[in-house]
Amino acid sequence: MEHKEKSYRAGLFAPAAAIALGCALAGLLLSTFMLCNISVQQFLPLILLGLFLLLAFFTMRMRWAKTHVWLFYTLCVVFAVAFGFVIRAIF
Amino acid sequence: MESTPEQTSQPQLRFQRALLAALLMSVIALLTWFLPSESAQSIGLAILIATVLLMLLNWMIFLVTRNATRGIKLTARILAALVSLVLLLSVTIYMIAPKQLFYARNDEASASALAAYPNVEQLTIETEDRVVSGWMIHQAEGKAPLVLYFGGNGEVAAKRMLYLVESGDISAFAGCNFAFLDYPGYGLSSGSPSEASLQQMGLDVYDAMISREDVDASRIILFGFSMGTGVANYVAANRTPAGLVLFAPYADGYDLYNTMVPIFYGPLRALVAFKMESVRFAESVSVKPIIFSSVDDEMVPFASSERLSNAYPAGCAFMRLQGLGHNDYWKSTGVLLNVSQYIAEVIDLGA
Repeated sequence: MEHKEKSYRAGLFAPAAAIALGCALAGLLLSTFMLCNISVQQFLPLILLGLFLLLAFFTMRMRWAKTHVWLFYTLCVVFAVAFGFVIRAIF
Repeated sequence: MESTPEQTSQPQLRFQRALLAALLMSVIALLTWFLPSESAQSIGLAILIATVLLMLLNWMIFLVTRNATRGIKLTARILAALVSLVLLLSVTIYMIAPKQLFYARNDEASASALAAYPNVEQLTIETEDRVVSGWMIHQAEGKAPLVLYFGGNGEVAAKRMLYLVESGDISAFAGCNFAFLDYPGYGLSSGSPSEASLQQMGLDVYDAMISREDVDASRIILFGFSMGTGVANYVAANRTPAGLVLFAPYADGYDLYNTMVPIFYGPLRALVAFKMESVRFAESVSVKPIIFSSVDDEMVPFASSERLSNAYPAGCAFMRLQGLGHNDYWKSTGVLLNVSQYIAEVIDLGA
């Protein structure tokens, strides 16, 4: 029972994080819209969300991603940081 | 009943996790782009801190309401989402708006050309925490009157001074030396532009200039254009210049923000980072300034200049202009003639 309660509490972090991250993305979209002049840069937050959603959705179908969720999220973070540097190099 | 991961269907759970991962990756990738960037670093940092705090706050709200009814849980989530969105957009607007206001840059070509003139001196003022750089045009011998100029948001000292020398418009200030020092982040000045740094720079420059051998402290004219009128007003309120000339002045920063996006009223005024309340500084200005404002100015509303003009205890000479755009004040010979006459009235050029 105690384990179930702990896991339930941890499970509540996902929607809390999703809301905060969604709002952060809205803030970043406003920033790119105001600071950048090129359309691709201005809409980059939406473009990235679409790309990463497809990537994550298909990766989640793999067995290792289903069984090792924390490994999946860690790899997502590493990939995102690397992708950020690529964006920086391009723009 | 709250659906736990065990109770959520597999496709739904997969989509939820994919969505969370996509949001996480998008935000991290963009922050990795923003944070090392000089212009967007502060915005990225503010969004990062706000996001982490909101994550924890939302989690706490969800934990507190975990045993509540379904209706209360849903309401809590909707409220958490709305509050998060309002807070993050507010943080973003607060951080972005000043970036839209300042165009900090350098102009090496103008600086090189200007340095070739024999009566032009490059100035470097070192304060406790920064270096202020700029230029001075010498037009008078000995302890002379000084016109201390504070430029607009897009002006670099070297370019304006070169224009004055090459066009001959500097003759409008005959008998006075003319100094223009760059704002923090502009030209070779260190630091970054903000309301506080501009105000401090204005006072530092004034104090440094009156201590010079070739400047008569009793005959200083402060001169501001556009954004610089706020700095000139602030310095005039805290020091004792002999005169104050203002081109396209604004009453406060709220008016400038509302010219860009007219939303900064009521509680949204709290989002204005560059308040620069000239209208409040004006109450402490002892001299009678001369104000030039055009009804056709597309950047600073005429009504804002007019509101400011009513705030000076000693009154002011208000010159209502027509047909001049924001960047046309300097090009008008009539305006420059009026400035010359004002300077001759407030200080003794022959002393």
